Amino acid sequence: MPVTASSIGALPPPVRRQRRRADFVAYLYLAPAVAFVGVFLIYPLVEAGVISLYQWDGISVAKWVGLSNYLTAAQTPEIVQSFYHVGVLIIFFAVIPLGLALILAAVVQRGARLHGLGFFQSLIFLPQVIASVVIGVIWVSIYAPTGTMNTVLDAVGLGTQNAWLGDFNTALPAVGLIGTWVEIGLCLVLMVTGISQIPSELYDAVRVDGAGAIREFFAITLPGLRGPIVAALTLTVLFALRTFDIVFVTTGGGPGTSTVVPAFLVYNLAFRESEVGLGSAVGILLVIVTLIITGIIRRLEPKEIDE
Amino acid sequence: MRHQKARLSFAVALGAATVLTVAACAPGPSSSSSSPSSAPPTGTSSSAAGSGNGQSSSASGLSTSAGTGSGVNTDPATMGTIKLTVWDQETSPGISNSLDELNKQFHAKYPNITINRVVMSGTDLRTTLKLQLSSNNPPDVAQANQGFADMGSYVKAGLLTNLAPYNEAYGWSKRIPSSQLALDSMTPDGSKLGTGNLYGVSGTGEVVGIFYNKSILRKLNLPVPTSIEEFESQLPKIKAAGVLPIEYGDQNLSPSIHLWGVTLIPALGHTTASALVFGGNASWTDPAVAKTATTLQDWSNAGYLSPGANGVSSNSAATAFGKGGAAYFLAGTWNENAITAGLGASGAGFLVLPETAGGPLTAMGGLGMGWAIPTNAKHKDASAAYINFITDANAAQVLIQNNQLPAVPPANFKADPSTLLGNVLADWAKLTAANGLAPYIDWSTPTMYTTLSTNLQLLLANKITVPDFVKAVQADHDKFYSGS
Repeated sequence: MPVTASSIGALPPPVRRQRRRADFVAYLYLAPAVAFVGVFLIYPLVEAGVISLYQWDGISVAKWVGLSNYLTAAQTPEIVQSFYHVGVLIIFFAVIPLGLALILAAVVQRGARLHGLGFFQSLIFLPQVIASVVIGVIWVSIYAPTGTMNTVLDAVGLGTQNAWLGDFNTALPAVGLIGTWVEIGLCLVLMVTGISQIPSELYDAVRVDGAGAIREFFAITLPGLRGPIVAALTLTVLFALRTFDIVFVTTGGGPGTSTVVPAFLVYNLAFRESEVGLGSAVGILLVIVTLIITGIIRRLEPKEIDE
Repeated sequence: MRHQKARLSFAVALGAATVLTVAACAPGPSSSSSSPSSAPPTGTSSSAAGSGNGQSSSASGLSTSAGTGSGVNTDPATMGTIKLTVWDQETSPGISNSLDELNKQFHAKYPNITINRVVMSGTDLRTTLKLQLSSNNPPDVAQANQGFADMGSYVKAGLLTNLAPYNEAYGWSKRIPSSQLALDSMTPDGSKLGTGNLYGVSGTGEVVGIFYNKSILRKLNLPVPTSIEEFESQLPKIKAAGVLPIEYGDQNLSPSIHLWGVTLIPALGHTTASALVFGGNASWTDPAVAKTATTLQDWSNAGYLSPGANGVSSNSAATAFGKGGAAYFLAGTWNENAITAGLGASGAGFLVLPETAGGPLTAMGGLGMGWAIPTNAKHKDASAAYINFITDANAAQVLIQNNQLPAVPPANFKADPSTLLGNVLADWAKLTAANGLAPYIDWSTPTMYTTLSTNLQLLLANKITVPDFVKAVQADHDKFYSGS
């Protein structure tokens, strides 16, 4: 494996002096990255952690309240609910697009050379490069009572006047489907690229053994895609966890509190309601949840790495 | 082992990276909403805020003592050659043209004073003004946004001049109703709205009322209502005739508060409605709250409001009303353009109604940002003379010519009663004369906007009962006023 800066320190030192020198040079190389991460990431994070221990309106004297902001967060139904909502969003933003992308990628792979594959790939990847706010605005008009969604449903005989984003039962899934639409392109591109890196001998071998398409998928494609799947899951789950703009533009957390998510609450508490301490506490809780979930996802990664 | 470690750190880095956006949000607002004297508040939440407050209390003491000085010069001609820098956020054409016209008139009248007008978006003004106010060279006149977040934080830090001596010199309180001056007034510590010192004077106004479609009412043989009671009694008839009674879109959450305000404010009465916002002796357990909340829920259940309203934006609702979609539209005067675009200049009318015919007139509304003088401004007498000039009766006339709603319409103004604009002007003038402008009810606490808009949606969907609703709103009120 390549010798990386961080692994040098762990190597058994042949000569003491040399090692120190190597350490010094290594730290020098690390310095810009450490400074950047420190100033723009660690510092704000620690600061948010500190603020979360105070009751503070953002202007006047902050009052030390210890962990009571966290207690308040755990006891406020709206905040607890927001974490449940983000769980639902993970299904729509990560699980569903990944599942669909796997099926589509397998089909594309069986289809061998498809004309204009690159074109379709870019097309389906397009939502990724559109600003979330624009996506939100587009979907607001699609979901409107007289919008495209209802027009299409009407055309196939399912005439409704449902305000998808305004109904307590459909608002959260409606927001979720926007995420599915956004993320499917990313997942598909990752899966198709991943499949192209699976050695074709494996497919030849499994076909010689008489496996059908489904057997082939589970025996070769799926195990071969563990790496890309982890990457796709990490990216999409993180996108789901930090959902703010889409909710902000489409529903503003409504109707009632049915689409409130933690990142939206952080904004609302800190900016609109002058509860900077409580807002920071929710932010820190979101950090912890994020770390736990990404930690679990990383465990799915293949253990063997080619030396 | 090494792989494991690298992987873990990667996961941590990735996780932290996402969260950065969120975490960065948390200290963000402190820097944008705190006073400049506690400059980088992200750094030291407790200590910086603490010291900031220390400075501000001494500074506000200074501003009050400076304000008591007598000897205000009200004759700009004798002030020597002065260049006044004025910051405003009036970018829309009607009001912007009015200000240009007034500046020209002011300079023509007092050639020794030149006006340097600096226009920027509302967001830009609010973010840059904070820093500029504390500098040694702030603008001479600037617009300050009312409420705790902006004007409150400036006042708290001692950055705005108490206008009391100028009020006395120019007699503002004689021509401006007290209900309007209250919106630009705060205690010197910025903790209470509606009382204390005057920190700004506003030029324009807005009010929430009832738009009606003239041809629909005519077709259904219904008179233009003269009271909320009469208005309510018409709703079942309109529904029975197969017409949507009230156009409504609440995707933006704020329209629910406006919808309710139309019936709530007259039922509460001006005194109680203002006291709820200004922290006076009032409570949401007032029977009027439950009564009008019940009415609202009944409207929703009876189908008087647009179906699927939570999925319709307020702009779409205004446009739909403009296309003849409903008999009534309960909203603010700022929707006038969207309505005249569809129904023409005289296809719709506007009403501010008392609860019972001939009863006291009161409605929820607001004022344009207040014209204020920074504490560090160099030519305060000239600034005050300018503020007086752009808010007087002549200025109101100029605003009317530009289709704007002046805060105080001139006594002799003429409005064409057949047009919507004329209607709006006439009703605003009546409301101003009755001193009936009530502040937006969601100003009462920093969290009230969310509490009201969320719970009103729940109420209209029958997810909560009226007593639950009252309890939730009163709890918000109690939390804020018992905590401080």
